Amino acid sequence: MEQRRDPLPLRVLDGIGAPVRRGAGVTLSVAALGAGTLAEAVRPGTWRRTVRAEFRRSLRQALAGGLGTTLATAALVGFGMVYQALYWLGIVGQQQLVGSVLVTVLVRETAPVLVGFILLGRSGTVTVAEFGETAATGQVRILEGQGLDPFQLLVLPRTLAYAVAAFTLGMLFLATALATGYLAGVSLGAVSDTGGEFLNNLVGALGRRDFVLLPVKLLLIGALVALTAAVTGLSSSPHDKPAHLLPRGFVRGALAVLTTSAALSAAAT
Amino acid sequence: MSGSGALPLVLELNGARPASDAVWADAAAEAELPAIDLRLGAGEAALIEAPDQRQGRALAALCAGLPPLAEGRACFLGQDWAALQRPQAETLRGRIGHVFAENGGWLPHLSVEESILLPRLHHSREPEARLREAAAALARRFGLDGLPEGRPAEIPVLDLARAACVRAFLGDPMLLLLEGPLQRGLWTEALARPLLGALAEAWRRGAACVWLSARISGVWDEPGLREARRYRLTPDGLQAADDAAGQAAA
Repeated sequence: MEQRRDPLPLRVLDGIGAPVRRGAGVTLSVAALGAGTLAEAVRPGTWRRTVRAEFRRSLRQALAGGLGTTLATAALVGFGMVYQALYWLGIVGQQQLVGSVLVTVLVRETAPVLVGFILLGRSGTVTVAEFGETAATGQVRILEGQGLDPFQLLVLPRTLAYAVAAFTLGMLFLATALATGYLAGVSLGAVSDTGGEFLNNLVGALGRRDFVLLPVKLLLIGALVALTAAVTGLSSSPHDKPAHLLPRGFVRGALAVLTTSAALSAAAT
Repeated sequence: MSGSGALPLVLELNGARPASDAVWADAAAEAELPAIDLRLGAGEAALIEAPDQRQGRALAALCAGLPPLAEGRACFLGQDWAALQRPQAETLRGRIGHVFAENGGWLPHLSVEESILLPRLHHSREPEARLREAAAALARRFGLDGLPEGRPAEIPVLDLARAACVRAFLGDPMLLLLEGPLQRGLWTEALARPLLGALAEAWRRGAACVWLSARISGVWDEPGLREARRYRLTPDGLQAADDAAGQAAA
């Protein structure tokens, strides 16, 4: 039977409106799951042994999966950014600015975003694939049939585990990047400060808001990586192949990481 | 099996018809069910021929109180599913043993062993070691060497079907929902004997059973299921299998 096409203006409106509605739907779903996670996480009854086990499993996967990449990336950033800052500021005799430059560029912006991308690549995509298969094969209904709440058992522990993992990896990233950059500077003769002076310079440049901004940014980025991956995976249909799901999940996760970082930085200035 | 008599009802569906609501489930929601009447007391069983597998799944979901109802009432152990809060309903579902259609019910990121233990670990406070021991004993009874440690994709189909039975019978459930456990070439003595033996024990301790199956001779002629009430799922609801056959012949 021949299918009747909609008139052109309607098709144009559909072309504009459909992606906007889809995007709004994903944003609202992420917000709803995030609010649900916060509300459920503080209820002691939520933390049954199966939920605790899933939290431990997700945390182990996120940390072990992302650790090597985080340390390697941090070493490269340490050499490429920290050492360069030390070297060039030393050339122009502005060593006292090293702390504020590194806090502004590395601590506030680069570290949270890079850790978010590492977590997204190493663990977020795993969640998209696992949840995608779970949803596409009807396992969500089957979990409910066994009296297991898919949100409580799958989404909540993973969201909190990724938040903790992002914070942990972020701290390791900063420590490694700063240590690598300083050691490179010392061994190449670009730094005359002792390690203590270098650290004092850095800590002195940290404002009170940085002690709040950095952990909040890392925790929120980790949680959003998990939530966008969960929404992408669980909303998949049997027709969605991993080749479609994974890029979709990656784009949503990347947007969440960048938007969160920019929004929190703007809010803190 | 015993007759219904004055025994308490385990499962009671009184003109229960699921509402058309796509929120609670996925593919099963697409299959519409007529109003269903079914009462099962302790130690009773219903063998139901469901020509459409999706309708069979929808009927199993109805027994487990998953879909909201457009009309009628669905009760399990005297409790109306519709009147229960979600956490209470989930706890009650923990007393149902379920073999899912097409050997399903295995989360891709968990080992089969973890999936077997998951519902009991979630719903009970029984020590994990004791649960693991009980599950391993059941696994050996169903012909496995122990609890399968691999991922679902790595386990042979027959072993996965055995594992599904272990999960369903673990924790002495009061209702067994068996969605074609011996279908798809799984009708083998190696699986059928232990399954029927475990069912007979479950009936003796007062459990009821809904067995959804195609009309394959292996199941329908099985002496161990001689006392099960036989139905056919038709567009008008559940009909006694002989009536349905008579109507079809007429």
